[in-house]
Amino acid sequence: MKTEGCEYEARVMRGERDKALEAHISGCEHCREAGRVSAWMRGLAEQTSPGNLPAPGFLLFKARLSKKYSDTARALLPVAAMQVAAVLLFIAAGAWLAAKSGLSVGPAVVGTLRSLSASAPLLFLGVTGGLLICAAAAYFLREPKK
Amino acid sequence: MEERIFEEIYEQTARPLWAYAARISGSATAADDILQETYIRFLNSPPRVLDLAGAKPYLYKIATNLVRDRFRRLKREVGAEEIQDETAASEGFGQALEMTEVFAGLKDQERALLWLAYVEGYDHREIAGILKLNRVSVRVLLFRARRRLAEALENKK
Repeated sequence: MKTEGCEYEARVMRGERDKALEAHISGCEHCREAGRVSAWMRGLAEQTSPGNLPAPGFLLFKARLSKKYSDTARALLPVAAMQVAAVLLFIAAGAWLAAKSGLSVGPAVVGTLRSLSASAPLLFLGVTGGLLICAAAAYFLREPKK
Repeated sequence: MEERIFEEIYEQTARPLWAYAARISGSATAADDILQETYIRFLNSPPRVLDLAGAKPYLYKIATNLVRDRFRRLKREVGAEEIQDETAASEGFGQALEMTEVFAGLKDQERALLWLAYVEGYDHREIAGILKLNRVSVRVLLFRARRRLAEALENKK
C-alpha cells in the first residue's frame, strides 16, 4: 500500500488553490482525495458546535473541589489501613490467647476479653496503636501550606 | 494555576475541544461531560509549560483518553454491538445527519486521526503524541482512515 504523502498535500489540505495547484490536483489521485476529504471534514466541523459551554469560573471551582476531595481520600487511606490492621491485631491476639489457654470458641471469646483487660502488654499495644492512628490522621488531614 | 491564564486557554480551546469530543465519542451529551472532566484534570495536573501551544495538544490528549475510557466502560456494560449502534445514531447533533452517519461509520481511532489532521491541522508527530501512537503508524493509519472516508463518501453519492 502506498502511504507516502504528496509534496502538495499540505497546501491542498489548507484549502489553497491556484492554477498550478489545480492542474496538479487533477492529475494526482492522492491530492484529489486529500482535497475532497479535507473539504468534507471542514464542513463537518462547521456543523459541530456546542450549545452552552460551562463558565471557566465554574470549572475552576469544580477542579478545586475535586482536588480537595481526592486529597482527603488519599489522606484517609493510611488511617483506614491502620484501622484494619488494629482490628486484625485484635483478632490475632484473641486467637493466640484462646489457643494458648486451650479453650473452645465460646469461652475463648470471654477468656480473650478477660485476658485483654488483664494483659498490660496488649493494653499498651492498643493504646500505642490508637495514638499512632490519631497522629497519622492529624498529619495527613492537616491544612496544606499556602 | 492563574485564573486569567486558564480563562484565556479556555476561551481559545473549549469550542474546538467540545467538537472533537462530540465527533469522536459520537454523542453531544458525552462531549459535555468529557469537556468538563478534561479541564478539571488539566487544572489539577497542568503541563509544565503553560501556554496555548503546549496546553492545546495536552487537552486533546486528556480528552482522547476520556473518550477511550468511555468506550471501554460502555463495552463492559452493554457490549460492542450496542456501542456501534449508539455511535451510529450519534444523538444530539440535529443537523447534518448524513455527514454524521458517514463519520460515525468509521472506527473511533480513525475519527480521531482525521479530525486532528484535517480539522485541527496537527502534523504526524503531534498526532502521535496525542493518540499515543508512533509517527510511522500515524502516517499509515491516517492514510487508511482517509481512504475509508473517501470510499464512504463515494458510496453515499
